[in-house]
Amino acid sequence: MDFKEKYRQMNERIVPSPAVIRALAELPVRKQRRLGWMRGAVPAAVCICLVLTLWMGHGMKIAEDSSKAFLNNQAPPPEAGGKVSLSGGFRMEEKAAAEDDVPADQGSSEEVELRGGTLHLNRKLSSDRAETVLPEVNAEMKTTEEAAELLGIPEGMLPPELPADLQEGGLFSVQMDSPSGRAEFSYRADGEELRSVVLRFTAGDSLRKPSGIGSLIGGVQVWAFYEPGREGSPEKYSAEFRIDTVSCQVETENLTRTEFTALLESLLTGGE
Amino acid sequence: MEVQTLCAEDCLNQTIEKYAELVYRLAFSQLKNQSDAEDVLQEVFLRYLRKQPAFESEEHGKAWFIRVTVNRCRSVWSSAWRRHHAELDESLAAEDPDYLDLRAAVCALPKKYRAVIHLFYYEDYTTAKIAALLRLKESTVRAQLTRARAMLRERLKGDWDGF
Repeated sequence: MDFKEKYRQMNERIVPSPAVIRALAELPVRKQRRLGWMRGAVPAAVCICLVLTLWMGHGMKIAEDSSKAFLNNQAPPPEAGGKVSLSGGFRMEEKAAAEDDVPADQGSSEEVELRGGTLHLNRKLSSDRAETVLPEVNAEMKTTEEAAELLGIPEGMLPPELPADLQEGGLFSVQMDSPSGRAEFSYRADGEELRSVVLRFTAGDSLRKPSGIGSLIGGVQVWAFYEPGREGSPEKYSAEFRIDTVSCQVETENLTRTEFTALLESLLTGGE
Repeated sequence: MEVQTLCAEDCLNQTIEKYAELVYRLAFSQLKNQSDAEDVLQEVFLRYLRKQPAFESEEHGKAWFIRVTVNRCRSVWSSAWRRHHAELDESLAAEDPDYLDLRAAVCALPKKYRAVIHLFYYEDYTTAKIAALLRLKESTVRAQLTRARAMLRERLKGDWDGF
């Protein structure tokens, strides 16, 4: 027997099952059923698409809001050429827990406990800057400390010329642009216009000695530093106040709320 | 309307009777799997129902079914599911022992050779006709046929001659 005959015989035995043949014969009926079902399915699909579109639009709005909120809480990395905004405010004893006093545009806040008082460190990015940062890189930075550490510059800083209403919840912000070495310190007391001073710094400088500090308004320099604890050492919050040639440095370890308040008051009234 | 339906059903039954086995065998030779072959069979006839092609002759109809079946088998091969799953070769499991070697040899052929072999040896098509059906050059079909024969000869070790 040659190959062709053998191949033919082998294939003759291959036949579709009767059930399949019956199914084929019923195809027109099933097709009609399917079409009937599809007639109802098309409007349903349109409705579902419409609902999904609306829902996704709503979701995107939420995502946009979340993104803004996210960016408001993140500091851009120096290599990205972004800017970091640090802001903070002081609450005196009676106001310490009153969150209603914090302006809405303050951004998220984290509280650094001082003995007897609370320091709010806030991070904020203006909306136009938020568009220039890289979220995936920002996502790596969870805390203000990490951002400051990356930038190598002080994290929290009080502006010069503390206004009298600081005790009522004034806010300060520090915006740093690492590649250009430019830092802009802004202060806004409640109800006041934004004041700002531009300083220059060099990334990597000591926390205590930001270089290139220009003369500040009114001859008063007030610096507040947050120093993250490293290798077992505790976190430290310190403030350095300079009035002309007189300087005073305080740290959280030695600082009581009363002392701190008194110090601020003395500064505000031009005391020693 | 009812007369039309009856006529359509009658025509379909005739078409099934005429071409179902052809389609199924070709699909089975390509896919080596009863389930896939049955799926292809149904899809080919569904396509026939949708298109309602008017065949000029029986040969034309046969060519149409072969063409659609081959295309459908190619779609199955190229489907994501198929590409990520090993095919289940059922062809050997239910094979008569007399044809076991032959089936194994044919199944071992590359996919593109199986269609040529089937159309040449079972459907009795010439290489020119196969080339037209598969949209290949005739020289390509001849080359594939020659290579397929050589592989079969090698595998069957001269059990059969008359290739």
